[in-house]
Amino acid sequence: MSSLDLLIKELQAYAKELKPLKDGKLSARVSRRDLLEVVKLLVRRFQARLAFITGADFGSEGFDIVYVFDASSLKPRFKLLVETRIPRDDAWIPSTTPITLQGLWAEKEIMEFLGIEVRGHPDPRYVWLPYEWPNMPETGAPLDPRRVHGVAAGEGWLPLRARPGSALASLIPIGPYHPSHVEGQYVRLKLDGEVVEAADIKVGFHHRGISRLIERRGLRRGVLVAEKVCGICSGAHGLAYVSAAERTLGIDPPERVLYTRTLLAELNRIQSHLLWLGLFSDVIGFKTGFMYSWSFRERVLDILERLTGNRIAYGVWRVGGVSLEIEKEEASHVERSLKKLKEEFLSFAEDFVEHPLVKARVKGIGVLKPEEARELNVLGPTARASTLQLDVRLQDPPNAAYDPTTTGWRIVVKDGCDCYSRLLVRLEEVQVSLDVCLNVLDYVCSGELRAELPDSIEPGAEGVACNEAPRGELVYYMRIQEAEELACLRIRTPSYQNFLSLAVILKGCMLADVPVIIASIDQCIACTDRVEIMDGHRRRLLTWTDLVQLSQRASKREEN
Amino acid sequence: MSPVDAVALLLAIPVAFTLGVLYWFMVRKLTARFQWRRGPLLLVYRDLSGTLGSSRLLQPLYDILKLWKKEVVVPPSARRTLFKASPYIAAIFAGTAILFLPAPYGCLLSGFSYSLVVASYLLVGAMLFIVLGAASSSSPWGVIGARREAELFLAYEMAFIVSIFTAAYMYRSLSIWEISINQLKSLPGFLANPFAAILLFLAALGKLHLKPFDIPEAEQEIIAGPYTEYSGKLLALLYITKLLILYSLATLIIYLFTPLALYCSTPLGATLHIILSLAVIALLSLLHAANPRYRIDQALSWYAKTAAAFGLAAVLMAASLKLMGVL
Repeated sequence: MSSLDLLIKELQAYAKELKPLKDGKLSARVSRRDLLEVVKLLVRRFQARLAFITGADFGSEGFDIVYVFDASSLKPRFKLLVETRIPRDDAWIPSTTPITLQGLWAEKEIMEFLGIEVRGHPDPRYVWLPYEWPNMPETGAPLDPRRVHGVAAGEGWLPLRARPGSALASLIPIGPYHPSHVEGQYVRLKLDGEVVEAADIKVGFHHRGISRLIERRGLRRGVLVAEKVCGICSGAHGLAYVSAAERTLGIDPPERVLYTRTLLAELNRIQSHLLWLGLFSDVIGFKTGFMYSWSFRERVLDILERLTGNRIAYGVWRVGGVSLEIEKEEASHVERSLKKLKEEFLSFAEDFVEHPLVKARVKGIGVLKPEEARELNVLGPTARASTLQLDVRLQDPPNAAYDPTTTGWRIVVKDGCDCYSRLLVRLEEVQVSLDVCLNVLDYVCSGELRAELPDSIEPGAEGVACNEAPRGELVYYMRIQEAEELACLRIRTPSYQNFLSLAVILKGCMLADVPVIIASIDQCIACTDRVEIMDGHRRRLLTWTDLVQLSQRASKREEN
Repeated sequence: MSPVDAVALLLAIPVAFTLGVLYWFMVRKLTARFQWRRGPLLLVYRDLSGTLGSSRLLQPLYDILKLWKKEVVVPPSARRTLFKASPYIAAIFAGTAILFLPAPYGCLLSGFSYSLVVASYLLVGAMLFIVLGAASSSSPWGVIGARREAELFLAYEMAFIVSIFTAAYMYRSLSIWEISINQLKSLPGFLANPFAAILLFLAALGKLHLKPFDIPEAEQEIIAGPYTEYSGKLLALLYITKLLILYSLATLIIYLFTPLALYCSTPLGATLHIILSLAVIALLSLLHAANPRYRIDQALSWYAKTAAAFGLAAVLMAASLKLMGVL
């Protein structure tokens, strides 16, 4: 009996209902009483990874809590959803945090957004609301004083309200707005001299409720909003959304669509990694590296603009297809540009990683041991730099082409566990992505561009899809209410998980290394907070005509 | 003192400041070019010249003028007197140091027999008051910046002192002017003892907070370090101090290691003075652009190892040249 059959047999003892989903995934409905037993069984015995916990509000029927497990160690591409229904007037769930830290933040989010009590949670401070927020919304549940004062258990940590004078060690607030952060976040450090004794992270400075916006748009049009979750990894969000939708509906897109999606997703990854490389150089004070890598990125953006008409939000993702027809001529132009870029980038990357001062600054700092990385569910390049073979494209690829034989894709893993390894992983991934882009160009010029959508959609159908965003595994979970209406859509971004690791990595490092470590994780707050960035210092207002003119001028420059 | 000398002394600081502006423009421009950027424009594009003027050669000056007009904000918890006085005292120290250095048009007070000692102590004094001002600002960034500055100071000052006293020992004088003149009788300093010249150059990197030693001002870590709480006129004064220190160090390097004093008071001498300074600054900018920043402990150990090796080599070289009777 294979371990998967064993798992299903063991699950049947708890599950009220075991329902296969469209793409070979499994959904199990259990009662709240058995929940912890099931989590223990999956995490401890079958080494499944708790990817996400989320809840949906079904009005008078109560709440549905969904636990998404990644069990690809048992069977490739196997995901398991454990669901439980809890009544509205007795809204609580037991905390899984004593079993595994992987769901720490997700449970906090459930507490905050749905007003559900999570019993036994060690750190019930807010993630999104300010710590000083007076009460839980709507439900009027009794106030836990720990939440209000923002004191983490066991740490004896000082609340945000503490003034520097009352601290026993130096308190250095880094954020919410700080030169080393691209976006608003708050890292609070307790220092002894220049050495960090403890670190605490607060995000949630620009939550905009984009999931709800997508739900209101409906299944087909939601993708246009989903792509705008993040400005850097917009392609990753688009791909994850359409994959989730296609899995919910049970469609297989044609081959040309898959390859076109790979091309866009990998170009997106290249520009994201180059952007990161620039920020990373800036943080170690290497302005020249910053300028060079951003100029490379600019060229990738030019290619994307030429292909799709847009630099950031491509607007070509469609459920069941892609709205982008690449001509032979375009493809050969892209190939020429990419080849030139690859050549120049490789020589730059070589100089960069061999620079003695870069090595001195990033080697051996910010060490995250493999077992810590596994326990904290760290994702993406951060995990791969700590020897974990964790890549969605390997375990559960999205609806795009990632066949190593045709695309030349391979997983990049390093064993240094430090910031230097994270640098190496990302640089090598850029190289791999460039190769993939060059390889898939042969397949994108001919074939079908759309798959037929089914006439009727089964109410209550659910689907979950992952995509390897530049920062790690991105999870989209959706459930259909009826027709094309979405009952719920949940996004779990990689930075959301990676944030957890910061408190561990930062402990014991030096103040000068803090920005380097924060940058090496490459968190994307736009994804985590799902924010809207407002430029408050815009020099002048552009009218629509100005914008069109600007865009035309940019295209002209590209042609020359 | 003759009236001519008095006028020369009065002119020294304005001339040094103007050249400092020019040098700082060069640092910015060259760094930008090394980084694939434009930097401040020497010739402004025609469609922009209506608003920007025909050239941005004086960009560092415009920055200072802008700051000069701005409001000064003093943090309520700062030690007001020290906080406000420090930039003035630092600027006065740097300005006085200028008088003890040769200017492009004359020797000023650098012919005075202890001018090297006086000038180097005045430069130390300027740095000291920048640290004091930051430490009294009560900002955590300022305090960390001041602490880093003080730590780094100990490291680069060793290199600085070893280098200038090797030059003094080789040419048997503590007067900058005489050191330069004496090089004519034997070998020019940069040929006789390149180690000492390199050492002074390395110390200048630290003194000017150029990469890899811009640790006290590491914006990604501690905002602006010592300058965090300064604003308006006080910040402008700190910038002026920085320009003057840049000018002083460039002048010190070229006079201690070349017989430039020979051509003094001639157009050729003035031209050579500026060209050699610009060459020094181009080298500084290249290092600034090509390097990331060290961490403070790495910088200290770097100075302790590399600079100590150069220092030892410089002293041994000077002693052996003396023994061989070359100098």
